[in-house]
Amino acid sequence: MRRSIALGIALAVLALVSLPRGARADEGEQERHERSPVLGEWSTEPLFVPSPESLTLELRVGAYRPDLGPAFERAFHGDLGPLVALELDYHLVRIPYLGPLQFGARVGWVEWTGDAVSSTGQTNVGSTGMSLVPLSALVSLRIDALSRYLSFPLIFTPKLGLDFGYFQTGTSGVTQADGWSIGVDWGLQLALELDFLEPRAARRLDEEWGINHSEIFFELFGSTMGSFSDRQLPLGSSLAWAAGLGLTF
Amino acid sequence: MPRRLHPTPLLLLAVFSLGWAARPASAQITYTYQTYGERGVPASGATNYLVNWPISQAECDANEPIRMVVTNAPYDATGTTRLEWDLWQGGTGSAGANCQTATNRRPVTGSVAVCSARSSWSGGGQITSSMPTLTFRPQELFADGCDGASQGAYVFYVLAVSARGDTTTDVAATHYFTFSVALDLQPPSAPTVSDAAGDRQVVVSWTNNTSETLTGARVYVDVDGDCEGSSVLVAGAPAPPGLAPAVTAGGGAPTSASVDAARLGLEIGQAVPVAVTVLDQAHNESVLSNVACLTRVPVSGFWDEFCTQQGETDAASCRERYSGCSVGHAAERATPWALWLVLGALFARAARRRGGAR
Repeated sequence: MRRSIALGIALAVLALVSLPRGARADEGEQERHERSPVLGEWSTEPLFVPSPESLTLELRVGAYRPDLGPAFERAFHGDLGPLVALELDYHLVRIPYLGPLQFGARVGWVEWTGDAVSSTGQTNVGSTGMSLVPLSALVSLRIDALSRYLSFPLIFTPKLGLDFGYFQTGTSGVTQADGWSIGVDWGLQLALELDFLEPRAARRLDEEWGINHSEIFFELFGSTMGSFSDRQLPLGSSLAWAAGLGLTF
Repeated sequence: MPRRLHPTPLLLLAVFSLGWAARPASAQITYTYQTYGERGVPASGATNYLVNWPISQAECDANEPIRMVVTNAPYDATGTTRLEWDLWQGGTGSAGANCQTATNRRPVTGSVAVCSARSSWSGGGQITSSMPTLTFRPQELFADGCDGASQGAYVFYVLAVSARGDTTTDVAATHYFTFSVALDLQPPSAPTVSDAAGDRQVVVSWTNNTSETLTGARVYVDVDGDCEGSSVLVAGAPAPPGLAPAVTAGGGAPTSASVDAARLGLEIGQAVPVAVTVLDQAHNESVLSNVACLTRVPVSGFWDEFCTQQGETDAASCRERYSGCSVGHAAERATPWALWLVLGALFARAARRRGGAR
């Protein structure tokens, strides 16, 4: 629980830091489309040329509980993690009137812990735990047309990919098993682009750091890890969620 | 549009560098000391005094050196860089002798100075860690020896840093510190330990019964004894000399420690006596706590639950089924890594293209 709170606070701080700052009056910043000091005429130079946009970085935190049946519930009592992850997507090609088609990779980490139980039912005899490192290769379509063409700051992103999960589990300080499971990953993300809060500051963020857009998002996702083989641990989850901060650059 | 490097980070770096280079000399002597290597906690003095540092009788008997390194002695009050320093040691006694005062460092006709120069240093500027280490030995400090007669007695050493050969000016307040030790023969009260059970790693917990500052605890397990009363561990008695602690816990005043029952050779179902002692700052060890029972019992966790759920009655076959090769053959296990290599190559290519586009 404390871990979840700490992660939530960290995420909130990251979001705040990434918010475009308000324009400072003392800078006397002027738009480039003002009168040219040389020609004395209106310049034909474009108002703003964004830097190339080809990558999306996501910092994610969410809840994940694998479909491992009653054994998981008895051992971990509904522990949801949290799952923290980092995702990087490359904009492969922009589909007109929709948005960029992306391929990307995600790496995460989640751990569940609970009390071990003795044969006599005692619970203060140690702990049991399992950790999972899910690695994902994803293809996604970042539908940003609403934001680009209609200035409506919502982005939809369906995702599909492969999951490779490495798990390790043990009790009372001793590792009992570890291994890999493979499955299909899907996701549906809704993101709110933050540029509308401070458009000029967002431009400055692009000019100075190359960050085209920042956004907060919520994603529903699932995985079928381990469900294709009875020799793999079923680490998939029919439904999980993640939220976080996204940056395109 | 050409991208430009924003000057803010460079400016910040420059300001930080300038600030670091021009940082003022510390206004306070600092020092590190280490008494009795076993204690292993070299402490850094944040103040200019260290009073009544406890020395146990064992430490005093062993006459292990107390080492002290003076560092970061600042320039004098006028800002003049001194190239040579003397480190003065005051006399012994409950009051000590204040070597700040010039007259205490000056020989009196027909007599010797109250303070003596223990060490000199030259090399310019501040004293750094190249300053020779001062070494005191407990039996040098306690004239009465290490027996009970000296208990509670303490000895002051007033150490002052002055310009070399300077016996005419008083030492600035920021150029000295006092150091005293006390012989501590009083062990702390014994803790109260509870019964413990577990499989391999068994957590033994206890309650400390003293307000004294503690520095550690020792957990004794009598693997040849039993919980019916046959044991070398006796409540309220000193720890048996021939029995090594199963665990020594440090870090202040611990209240639990994990005992590796498997390493001790305990069988499932075996119950053995366990007792705990605590250590004070002088490393005096308390007598044994009450004698509790440590039992190795089979413990189940998630994996055991899962295997049972899957109908696997044998833990080994369950582990074989899912563990390690859970994605089949070695070639299949290599698949994730191969895919990540391909992804890495694609990202590298994308980065190059992105760089070329600028």
